[in-house]
Amino acid sequence: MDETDAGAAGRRGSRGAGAFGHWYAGWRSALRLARRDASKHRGRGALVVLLVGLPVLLISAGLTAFATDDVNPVESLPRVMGQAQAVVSLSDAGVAAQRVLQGPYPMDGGYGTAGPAEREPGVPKRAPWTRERVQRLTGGTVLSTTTTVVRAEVGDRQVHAAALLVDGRQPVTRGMASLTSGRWPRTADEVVVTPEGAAAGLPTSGTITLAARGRPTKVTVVGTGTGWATATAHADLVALPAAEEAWEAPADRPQSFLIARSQPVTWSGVKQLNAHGLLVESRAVFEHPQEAQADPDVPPAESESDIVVAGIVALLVVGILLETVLLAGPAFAVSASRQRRSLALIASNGAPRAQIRRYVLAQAVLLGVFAAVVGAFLGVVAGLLAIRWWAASSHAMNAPGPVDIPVWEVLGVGACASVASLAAAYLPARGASRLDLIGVLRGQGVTARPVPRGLPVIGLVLAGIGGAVLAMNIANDGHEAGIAIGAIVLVAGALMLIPWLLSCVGRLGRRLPLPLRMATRDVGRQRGRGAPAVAAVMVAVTALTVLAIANTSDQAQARRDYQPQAPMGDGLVHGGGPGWPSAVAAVVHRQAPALDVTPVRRVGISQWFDPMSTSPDSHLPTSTTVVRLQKASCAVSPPGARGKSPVVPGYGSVGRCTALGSDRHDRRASIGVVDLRSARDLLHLTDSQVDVLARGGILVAPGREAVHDEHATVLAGTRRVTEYGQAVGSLRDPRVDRIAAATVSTATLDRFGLAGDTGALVTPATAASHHWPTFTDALQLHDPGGPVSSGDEDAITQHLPQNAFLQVERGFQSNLALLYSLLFGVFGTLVLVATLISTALAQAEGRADLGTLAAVGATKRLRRAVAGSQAFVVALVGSLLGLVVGFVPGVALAWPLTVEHMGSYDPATGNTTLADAGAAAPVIDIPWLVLAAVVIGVPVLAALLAAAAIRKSPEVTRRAA
Amino acid sequence: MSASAGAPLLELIRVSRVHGEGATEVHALTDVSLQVGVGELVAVMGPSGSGKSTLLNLAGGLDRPTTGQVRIDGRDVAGLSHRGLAELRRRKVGFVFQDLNLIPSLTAAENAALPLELDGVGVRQARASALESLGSVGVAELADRFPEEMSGGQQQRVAIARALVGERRLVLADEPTGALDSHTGESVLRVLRARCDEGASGLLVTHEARHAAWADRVVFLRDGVVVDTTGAPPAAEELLDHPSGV
Repeated sequence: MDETDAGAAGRRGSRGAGAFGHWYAGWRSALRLARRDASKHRGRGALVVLLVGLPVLLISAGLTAFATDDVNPVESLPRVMGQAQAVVSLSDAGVAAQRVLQGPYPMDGGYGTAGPAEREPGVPKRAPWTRERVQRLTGGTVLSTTTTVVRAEVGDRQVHAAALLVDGRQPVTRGMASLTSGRWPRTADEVVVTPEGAAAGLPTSGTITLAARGRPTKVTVVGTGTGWATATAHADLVALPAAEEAWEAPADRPQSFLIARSQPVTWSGVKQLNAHGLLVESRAVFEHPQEAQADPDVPPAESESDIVVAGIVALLVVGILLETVLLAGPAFAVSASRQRRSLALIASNGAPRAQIRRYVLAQAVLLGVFAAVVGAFLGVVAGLLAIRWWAASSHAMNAPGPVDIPVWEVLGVGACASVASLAAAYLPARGASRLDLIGVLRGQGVTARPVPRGLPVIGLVLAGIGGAVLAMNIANDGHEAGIAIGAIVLVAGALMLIPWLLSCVGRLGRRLPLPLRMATRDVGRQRGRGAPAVAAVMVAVTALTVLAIANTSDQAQARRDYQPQAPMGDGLVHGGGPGWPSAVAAVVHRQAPALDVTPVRRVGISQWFDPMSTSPDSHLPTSTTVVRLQKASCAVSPPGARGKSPVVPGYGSVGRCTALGSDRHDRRASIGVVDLRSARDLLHLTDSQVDVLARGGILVAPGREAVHDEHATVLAGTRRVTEYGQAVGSLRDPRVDRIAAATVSTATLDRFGLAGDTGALVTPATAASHHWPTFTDALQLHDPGGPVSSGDEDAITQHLPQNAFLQVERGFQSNLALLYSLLFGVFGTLVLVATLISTALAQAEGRADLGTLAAVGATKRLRRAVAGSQAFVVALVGSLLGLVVGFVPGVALAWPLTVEHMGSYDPATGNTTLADAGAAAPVIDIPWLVLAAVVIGVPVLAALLAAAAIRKSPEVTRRAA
Repeated sequence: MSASAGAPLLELIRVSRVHGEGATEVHALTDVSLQVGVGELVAVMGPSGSGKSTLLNLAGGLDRPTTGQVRIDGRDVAGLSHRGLAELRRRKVGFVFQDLNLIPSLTAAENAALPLELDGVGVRQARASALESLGSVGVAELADRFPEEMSGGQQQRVAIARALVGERRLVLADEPTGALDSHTGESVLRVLRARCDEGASGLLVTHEARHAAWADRVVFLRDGVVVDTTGAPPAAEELLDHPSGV
């Protein structure tokens, strides 16, 4: 530092125009010295810039990526309505018979209905909405538009293609779709293919076969271009609205209309259209939603989850900035320490304490602001590059919005980082302003100040309060907010305890080997440098411990409660529509010939219907035979009240007399139909059980009270079938059969199809002999060589017909390995960085001591050992403290996460009752190995790295003659 | 090889040290020969820039001569590796500087025991030797104090104790009293003298004649050349009474 500047500063300041002039002159001088100091000690300056700038870079990158990825309503305008003033949709399945209650953003915020819709004069009650009818209400020009998903044949694969149906020739659609080559479709059998469609395998010329309305339809590709299926998803195809008639059943057609007119559709205009049952997305309302948001009928847009997410983000940013303060603090402490003599000279020339503080703080201002600006700029660039890369990768689910730089947020983070830098420099600055002038000017060493007595006491009290709050939360099944408050108070208390703990550690070193002894004494004496480093490590390990315990416990609970859906390693294909089992079996035989395919058949009729369709399934019968297994204790009664007990969906109360039956929908209620070979090979039934089946008998799950005297009573009759496949109404033409019966374990039954579904088993011959209807519920895929491989799973999935899907049971899938890698990577790196910075600073500061060591014959090995020990002590003390501090909130967080108010499920009967709710015990699982790896492994690694970084032997300072 | 009785512990034979070359060439020492025998305290005096500290750096193996030989306990320092030099400093030579003396994080006993600990001697044995050495310079009662808890004179005594701990017999002292008041400085030199009388050897760089008076011989340097060498000096107590008389 240029010492003469300081005196000059004081002089100029004292002659300045009052307090402000004094203040200004002081800062000007301080900043000039800081600039010179930074250019002189570039390594230290670069370190501070890195420590402050890196978090800013990461946060700015995240904010920019998030803002760009998020498509806000205004950004979505060209994608959803092109240049139109509004897009109007029908609220309820194309009928629009109900008055709509909507917010400014109906597609995001939801909407409701409020009574019957207003009717236009002369329009029949359920008249369809046409372009002309909408135009009469809105004026201007109205264009039809819609989006749909069609299945396209690509080679032997079936590809789902999102299609935007709009007339691209109309200028008003600019923004929704654009043409790259060729021309826009002119007829319903022409399409434009987008790059996303081409990436999915659609050809960009020639013809495409679409599986529309269950039959193949050929369309011609007339061009390539782009299109938006939604605000965040690219379309694969663009076609004319007229194409929907060919592709969709009339009732399935979702309809939307673009309103092109010169006048904007205001909020009152939106409400008028709502009254007719129309949903409206209006450009004017999107751009100026204030009126809509102020409307008392509109519910507030911000949901609780948004507030929670905002809270988590704020906590994360504060945590990162706190870590910045703790990491950068030692750098400023060392800087101030090395400038001690210069500062003492400045003070001896009349600089007041405030001015001495300014000299240290000026470095923080200079480096902090520089780091914040550079970090923010690079962060924005990195965020944009990251989102562009992400959008181009195959993992992206949504298309990002246009470039969106959250200027105020990024500026806020930069400002916070600058303040964090100042905060990091504050304690060193305060220390520097209280120098022992005479001692420093005489060249005497600086005595370590004793820890103020009050600090550890306050720390202990705070830690105690935090611990008590957490304990209370544990006892009362806790709330996340209470746990967060308790944890913050506990960590604050622990931070205050660190200086005292370090002085204790220094006293413990007496019997340790020389390098460790020096390291423990160093960390105890140089607390200005050591305490922030230890605190940084502690905070990182605390966060790691909390997250590791909470997540491990959560996963342990999930593993405990996991119920396999199919036999382990087997696959189940569910499907729908006529002929699906044979189509799926053909796919499986072609793609994975080694797999055994067993139809999982059940007594009854298929209840499959297309959930996307609002039309009744024409393949369903109007009535069917239902089969009920009666309880042995019940006399067989005529149809009516006694055999028909109420079914509570989801809780499955068991009827008084029906043990299970084909018209029941609760767990383990169905009667499976299995052939004898599969009974032996797949279900591994015993010979006696196979014998019962072979004799036309039935095997029943235990606890059903249906088997008596090796027989069971079966009641069959006819019931009416609804359009959704449910058997309703009273039982007609009842028949009673008494057949051979035995019990079979639920574990055996769970080898058949979906676990928990099957309550009894018969053979196809038995079902046929009694004229019981059967249907294929699923196809079970079994690999005799082991679990169904991922390769087979992928190959089959890619070739399955529409409405069929495959699920392979692979047991509970834990993502802990990934989580641990992430936690270990992030927090381990933080611990390493904090430790190595502290060690590097200790080495730089201790150069004189190293010279003395060299003078008495120390070698490079000792220097390495000292550096390694310094790193080890800082990392170990911080990690152990972090482990202790993080343990309590970790358990407190795991407690509410794993205490579930679940109903009690009885696997034997399939009953779930709410009476025992809350009985599930919390799961506390401590990942000792991961914690040990951080608490012991990282300090050892830090020690090795610190030792390896020492390249030179200690040098004795040569004496000038 | 070890120095035989009466043989010099430190020997500089026609040593020259040239810094830089061409126009910037500086002759820090020219053709200097010097011997320090067992039990002998030799003072080096001269004005600033005369080459005193260069001489001390060469004597301790911190620097290498451009020409000539430096021999410590009969071994030519030029032939020693870094490791060998470090070993030499642990076992034979101790430094006492004006500052840069004690490790602040070690107690007096630990500072004094440092060379032995570095040499692999057990902690207990090293501490015993250190306590003995501290006792020999009169600060045994300060064994468990840290440097910051001692006065400057006490710190220099501990430094002397460290310089002579165990088998070390050669002290190279560079202005050891520079940061001390005159009374404390004299007491430190008295200790150094006493240790030499008990068999240690010392090379003392000073610019104060009254401090040089404690030496057996005084070598005067000017512009890197030995310009004079005194024989047996007057008695130290006599010098204290007449400080101007060299």
